[in-house]
Amino acid sequence: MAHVVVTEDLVAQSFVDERCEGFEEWASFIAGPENSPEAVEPETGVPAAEVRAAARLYATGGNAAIYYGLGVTEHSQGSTMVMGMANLAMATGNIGRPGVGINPLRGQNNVQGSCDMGSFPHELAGYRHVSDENVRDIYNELWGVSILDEPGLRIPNMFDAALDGSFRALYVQGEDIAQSDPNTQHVHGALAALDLVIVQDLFENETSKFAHVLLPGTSFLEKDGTFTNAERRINRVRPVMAPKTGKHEWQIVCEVAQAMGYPMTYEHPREIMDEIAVTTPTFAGVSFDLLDKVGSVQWPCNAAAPEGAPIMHVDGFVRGKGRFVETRYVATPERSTRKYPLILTTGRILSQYNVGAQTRRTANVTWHPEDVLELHPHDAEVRGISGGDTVSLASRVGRTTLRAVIAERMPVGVCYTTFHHPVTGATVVTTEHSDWATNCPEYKVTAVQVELVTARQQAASVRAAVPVAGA
Amino acid sequence: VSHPTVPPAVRLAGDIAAQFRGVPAEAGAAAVAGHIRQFWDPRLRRQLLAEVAAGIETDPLVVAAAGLLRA
Repeated sequence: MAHVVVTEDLVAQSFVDERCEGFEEWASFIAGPENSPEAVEPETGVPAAEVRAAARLYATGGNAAIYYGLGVTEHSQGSTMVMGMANLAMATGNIGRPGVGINPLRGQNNVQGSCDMGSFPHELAGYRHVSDENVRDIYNELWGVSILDEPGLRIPNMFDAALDGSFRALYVQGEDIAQSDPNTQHVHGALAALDLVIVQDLFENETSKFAHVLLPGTSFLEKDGTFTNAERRINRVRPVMAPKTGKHEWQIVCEVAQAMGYPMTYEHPREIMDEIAVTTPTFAGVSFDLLDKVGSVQWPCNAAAPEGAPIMHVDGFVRGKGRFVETRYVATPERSTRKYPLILTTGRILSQYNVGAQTRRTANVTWHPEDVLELHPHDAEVRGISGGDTVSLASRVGRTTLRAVIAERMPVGVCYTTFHHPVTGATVVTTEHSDWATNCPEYKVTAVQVELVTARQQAASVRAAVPVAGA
Repeated sequence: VSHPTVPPAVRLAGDIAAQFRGVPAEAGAAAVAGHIRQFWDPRLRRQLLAEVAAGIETDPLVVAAAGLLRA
């Protein structure tokens, strides 16, 4: 689409001239014939004429916004794709005003809040790099500690480091990594190698089977704090009942810290928010009082924007000029082969929440009682597979079995399943490949083989695994 | 069932290098080194440098980036 925008003179030149840098070099790159819709059609399967029409409409149709889910990011070039979308939005001026922009649809309700608070191993709260001495000093002085100036390990790196013995303890809160993370055999080996695994969760799950210490979690009905959604909107979450376990999760974290020698003492979550405001410039104006008064705010919320900022990048980007980045296509290292000729893509469905630790214990299992494998009729026929048959699904890292569903909506050569049930364990087969920049696992591309194990005994009703946006 | 034999640090560095093969070698090496410096835990960087120093077969951009990281 960017190729069409540049070569058909659809660029928002005044926006680019005023707000961006690196345009000429990028435009020269993207105008190359190898990036034309006609050139990439054999790879993408999307008709070039439709791409050209979409590009023209996106550039000239008024406000145009991009919304994307994990189908973009769970690839080896997921980050590159996001940069490509940023290029497209800048080139057409579709950023920095109501009705436009690039908007990630988050996979869980508080992913944004976690990221805002420094859950990335290279950042402190407010997306400030750990190498920034001035930022570290804010915390060093307030807490009386010395924060490391180097990035930490990402989750896949932790598993590798656990196996080599350099990473020895893990505290897992509200995530079932033993079921959700790729290459299950590798993950289980890493968890078993750790000296200490602490799991704090609402229910026991696959990861808790490796835990040396289990700490209780609370449901959203018991929580007192905030969730932040994909539009940076900080919402209060108020409890409707006291925690059944007798303590809030944050109180347990405080007690662990105290037991380790740090005097972490808060009387109420509002004090934690006050500390966030003191230490994080983009949250400087946020308080429970403000949230109670106005309902919710979108950060940045500070002296310049006392009740938050609904639109970002209005007059400039955070870094100053928006930088165009050349986004060359690099194919995933994962390859279909004679042994593993199909491509597996995984996702989620509406009635189950992620690994299903919460939703599998509800009546939602009526809608989705098991993970199934969707196959194109041709791929099924050449393997002697019919709907309802039990099939094996194997990649170079693992093997599982599940029931087959014949689905016309699947492209030839591609199959699909979900990972809501540990008994099927779809992540047993997904590999170590990840996004080059973020190490987000490449859940969407695994070379696999599918073989008939047992023909169905009787006509069974097997539901398709229907993905939803954001899956 | 087989498992990858390339050490994780070398594999991940190769993934980064693959993104910069289209730019001049010097700039590509600087970009790879810059990314690793900004986002990698020190122990991963040490593993990469040790593997490259031991002569592991990898992308020339990774070798050049390791030189910059070592400097």
